[in-house]
Order: sequence, then C-alpha cells, then structure tokens
Amino acid sequence: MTPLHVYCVTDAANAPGPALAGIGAGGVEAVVSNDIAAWVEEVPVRPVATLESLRAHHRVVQAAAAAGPALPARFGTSAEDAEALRESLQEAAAAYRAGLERVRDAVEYGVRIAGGAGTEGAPAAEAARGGDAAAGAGPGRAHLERLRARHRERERRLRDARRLAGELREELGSRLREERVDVDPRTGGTIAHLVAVPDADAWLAAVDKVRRRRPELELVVTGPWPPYSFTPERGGEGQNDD
Amino acid sequence: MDDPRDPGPEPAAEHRVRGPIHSPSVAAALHPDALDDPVALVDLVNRVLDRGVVLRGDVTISVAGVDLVELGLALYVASAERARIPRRPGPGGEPPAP
Repeated sequence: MTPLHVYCVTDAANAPGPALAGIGAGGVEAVVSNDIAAWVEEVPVRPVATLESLRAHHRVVQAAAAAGPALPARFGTSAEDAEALRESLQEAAAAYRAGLERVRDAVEYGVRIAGGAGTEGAPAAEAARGGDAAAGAGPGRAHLERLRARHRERERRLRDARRLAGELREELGSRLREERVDVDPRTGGTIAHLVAVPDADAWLAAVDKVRRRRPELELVVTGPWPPYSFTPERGGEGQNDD
Repeated sequence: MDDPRDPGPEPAAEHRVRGPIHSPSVAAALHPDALDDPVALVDLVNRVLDRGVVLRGDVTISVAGVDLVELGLALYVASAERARIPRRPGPGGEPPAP
C-alpha cells in the first residue's frame, strides 16, 4: 500500500486538474467521501520538508482554493490508504463542512511585524520548539536566562501584534471576517485576516492607512493566501504554537 | 480548470518582488506567488508547516527535514537581507545558536 500525502479538504465537486503537479510524480487526485473530498498524492515515502516540497504543497493547495473553498492540510499529513482517509473524513465530516462554509469566497491576508526574521528567527524557532530539546543541551544559568529573555521577547511581540490588530480591526470594521493573532517562532508577531474576496481591495486600503499611521513598524503584508490560518482544529490537539 | 490564482509552472527567479517591499506607500500585498521572495517565503513556510488542518483517525502527521528548512530559510533570508539596503545592523552581531 502506498501512503497518501494529503494537501487539503475541499467540496467533493472541486477536483484537481490532470496536469496539476504535486510534490512527487504520483499525480494529484481526490479521495471523495460524500460531499467532501481530500486532494492527495500517492507518495512512495513520506515527503521530507524542503523549501521545494513546501512550495509544491502550497501550489496544489492554491489551485484547490482558487476553484472553491479549501481547507489546507498541514504539511506532513498522510493517510495509509484511501480507505483510511475516507473514514477520517467521514468521522469529522460535520467539522469539515462547517470549516468549508467558514472560508467560502474568502481569502487570507497576513500582516507581520518584521524585525524578527532571519538573524533572530532561528534561535526564536528553537526556543518555541520546546525548551526541552534545548534544555538537554545545557541546563545552566545562562541557558535559563536566555529562555527567560526569549519569553519576554515573545510577550512583547504578542502585545505589539495585539495592539496593531486592534487598530486594524477598527479600520476594517465589518470587512474583517475573522482574525488570528500569533507570535510565530520564525518571524515574530503575525496577524492573519480572513476577508471576503470582494473586500480584498478595501482591506488593502485600510491596512495601508494603518501602515502610514505607524511608520515605525516594519510591516510585511502578504496575500491572498488559501485560508491556512482558519481551519478547524483537531479536537484538543491542534492548537498552534502555544 | 481555469484558475486565476494557479501560478502554473514553478515561478522563475525573476518572479521576485522587486524594490523596497517595506515601503509605507505600497498599496499592495506581496503575493504568495512571489515564492522566491524570501520575505514571502518565510510566511509560506509558517503557514504550510505550522498551520492547516490536521485530520483525525488513521491519518498521521510526521515531518522530516524541518531543521533543514529552518537552516535553508535562515541562509536565504540572511543573504537577501545583506543584498538589501540595510535597515538594521546586518547579521553577524549574534551568531545563531548551534
């Protein structure tokens, strides 16, 4: 049996085109369970995360999201076979249906407070990945100090991001469908917004206004993305980053 | 399948977003198709690796190679930042922890 790499969950009516290239040579297919489907690819071995494979994964998710509502699967999600995947879809069908409605005709945009990527990004990622791994390396005072400093830094970034999120909310009003504020280990404070497609221009204008008002912040605005940040959480286990 | 957001073939290097991408007057977002832009790439990696739905049941999640991605990304971003007009002290102040 060949394992299936899962790209996303979609409406059953949304099927991948035959020419769509995935992370391997297996071809992207849909596994359907009643009215929902998962876009998958047969992969001989579990794919390794590389910049290339992440890009390829994203391209497939993007193709799905361009044709209808799609819930991106986290990279690395795989099923033993189509039967196992169908059962999995069936088991949580109601959550996926609700999730698809939530993102229908909407896109995600991101606003990130830059200044943490690259140089500080790697150590921050290490800290967020769990003090435990790092703690094994050398439990000393210096190490604890470093962890504390990182924690304080994280708190500071979260405060900054929340404050900015509040300003954006005020500016956007009802054009903002949903919001998610995180401190991402690789990048610092991030705000994800779910925005109805017709509101995208108004969203950009509003963000620009806030950006001009806060020139001291180096903001990176990205989008439109498939709704990576607005997918149903797996019961109790899927909390991110916290 | 005509699909306005399908980027088609792998975006070439020239697909990069140019210019001062943090300019306060830019009334546009970096499009995720600009995957070769290191700035958008960081956002991409965050989303693909850390977000998204985790399916239930006999579906597992396991990712190998994340360290390599982190490393590749750090190098990529660092080299891009060196190439840009410095907005803050370049890398080298504090070496990344091993």
